[in-house]
Amino acid sequence: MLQHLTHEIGTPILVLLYLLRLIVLLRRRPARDIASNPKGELWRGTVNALITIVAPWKLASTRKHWTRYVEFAVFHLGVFANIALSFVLAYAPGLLSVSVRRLVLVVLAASLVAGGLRLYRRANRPEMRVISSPDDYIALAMVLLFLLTGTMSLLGWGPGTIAYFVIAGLFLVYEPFSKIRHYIYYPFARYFFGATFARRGVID
Amino acid sequence: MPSSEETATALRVLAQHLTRQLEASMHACTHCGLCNDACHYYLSIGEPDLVPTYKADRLRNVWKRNYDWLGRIWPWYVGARQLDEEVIRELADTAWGSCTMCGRCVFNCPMGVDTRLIISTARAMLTAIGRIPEGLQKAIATHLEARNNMGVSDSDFRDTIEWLDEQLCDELEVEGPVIPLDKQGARVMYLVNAREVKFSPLTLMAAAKIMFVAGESWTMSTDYWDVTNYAFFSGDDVAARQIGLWALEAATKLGVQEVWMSECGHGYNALRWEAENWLGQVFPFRVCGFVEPMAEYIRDGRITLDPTRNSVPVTYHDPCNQGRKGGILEEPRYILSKAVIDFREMLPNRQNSYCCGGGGGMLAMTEFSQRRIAAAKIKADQIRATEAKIVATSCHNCLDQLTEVSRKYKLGAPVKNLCELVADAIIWPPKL
Repeated sequence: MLQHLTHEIGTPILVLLYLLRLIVLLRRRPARDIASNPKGELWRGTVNALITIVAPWKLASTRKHWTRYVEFAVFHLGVFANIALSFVLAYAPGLLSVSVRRLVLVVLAASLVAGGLRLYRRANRPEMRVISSPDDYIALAMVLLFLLTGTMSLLGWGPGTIAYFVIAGLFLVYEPFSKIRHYIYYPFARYFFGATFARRGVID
Repeated sequence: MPSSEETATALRVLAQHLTRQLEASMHACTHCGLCNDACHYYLSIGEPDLVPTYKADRLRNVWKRNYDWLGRIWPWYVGARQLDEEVIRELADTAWGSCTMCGRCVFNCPMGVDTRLIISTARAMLTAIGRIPEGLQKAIATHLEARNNMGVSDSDFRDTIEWLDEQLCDELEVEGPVIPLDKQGARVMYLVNAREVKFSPLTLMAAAKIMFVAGESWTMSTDYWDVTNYAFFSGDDVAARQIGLWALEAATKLGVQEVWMSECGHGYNALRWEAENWLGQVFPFRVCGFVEPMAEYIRDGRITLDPTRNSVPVTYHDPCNQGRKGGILEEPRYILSKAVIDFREMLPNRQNSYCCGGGGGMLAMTEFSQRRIAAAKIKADQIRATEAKIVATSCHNCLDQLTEVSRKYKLGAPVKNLCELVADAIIWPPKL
């Protein structure tokens, strides 16, 4: 019951809020970029910019801090797995065979470690503290709690499952307001970056 | 305290600049800190408040207070701030004094956040309320008044060109003019940085020599000849547009097919990539930085070079406005491979080159001189590591900054524009 409520109320709210966000973004005028004789091909640059997420060698920052990239990948993989888990537990629990359960547990545990490292770094490094607002800490703490309760739920602990779906519900509603919304803007920001610098022949 | 009128003006400018691109950059930042190492200020000085995200947040926090859902109702939670005197002071110190808008952080952001765009918006807001450094404002005002940023009068310009022409005729042992003025029907109109006319004629002489030897059909306009556009740095779009318009009018009057600019990073970015946006029309001519035709001349055999004339080790500094933000990355390397014997790359280079610290109009803002030089430590270390005896670049602001950096950090390497090295290596008269 709770799991169904979480998704059937939380998900439409999330979708509606994100739609609103996108409407606000798309109602803004696009910056004019009409310089003649572009030096590069727009499609190539934008595709390139969009796939950077799976090509860390293309970015000097992720080349240099490759452990941070691994951490990013593990953390986000865990978050996606945890979100998927909430749907599977609610609507298709039969999909969770023993081996699938084990695999998801490993992913969630690794993601918890990666998220913990992120929180530690944010709280401990002066250059991270100066750029952090309460939202930066609470959003991350909330994701960690979500991962933790997901893990407990997978381990079959009853109160953990209840907590998991309560957190999932809160998460769905909180997300569009918090920094967690960044992924909605990711394709736009990368596209704009790619389009601008592809025309100039800087990226291809 | 800013008056309510000032606050309203600044916020109105923010609203005007709030394009889809800017809005996406405001939202997309996750404060991950991956851009920290991209900034030459942070790498050289090491203060936490010099990381790019912190700098962008000076404006992002104001934006949150006015546009973000949570920022409007619960500002403390997301760091949103009212545009008060303290915020304006911080914004001014950041936007003018600790960011050259070099764009290196933009290229290192996994999300695609355009911090350069955020800072230029902050500058536009500050300019609109008169919180612009005096030196920068003077350069723009002089440009608008005299049609060049050094206040060179028409007669001084003509006298200087005449004198340079005589020098070149003597050197090349030819009949003039080597520097044609107002030649109707010429193929190319050439724009120079005003400092070439006032202080540093060697660069203009070198470019003129190259074009003469290549047999180019070119001219300079006495109506308008300055490539610089400091309004590009201040975010004053009206002034920037006017300056772009003068170039368009002069080129149209002469009927040229191409407009070439002397080696000037921001001038290139402004006229090549931004001016058509400001003017809302496409130019009826091709716009080039002089580096591009120089490379074409060498490739096409229109000039022949003897690299032994530049025999000492040379390194190249990529001007941000021309390289990372302008797309001229390979041409300088091709030129140097033909014009000097020992070319040594700095690491990193091209799109990932560090700013020299003189970008963003920084040289016109004397109040930030100390920080400007301190922020160049990473560039000085890069140059030192190459053991080069000459630093080549392709921008007058970079040239000035690197000359000062070379002196302050005791690098012992003079700085030259590319065309000077090319002109030195030209074989003239051609061997039969």
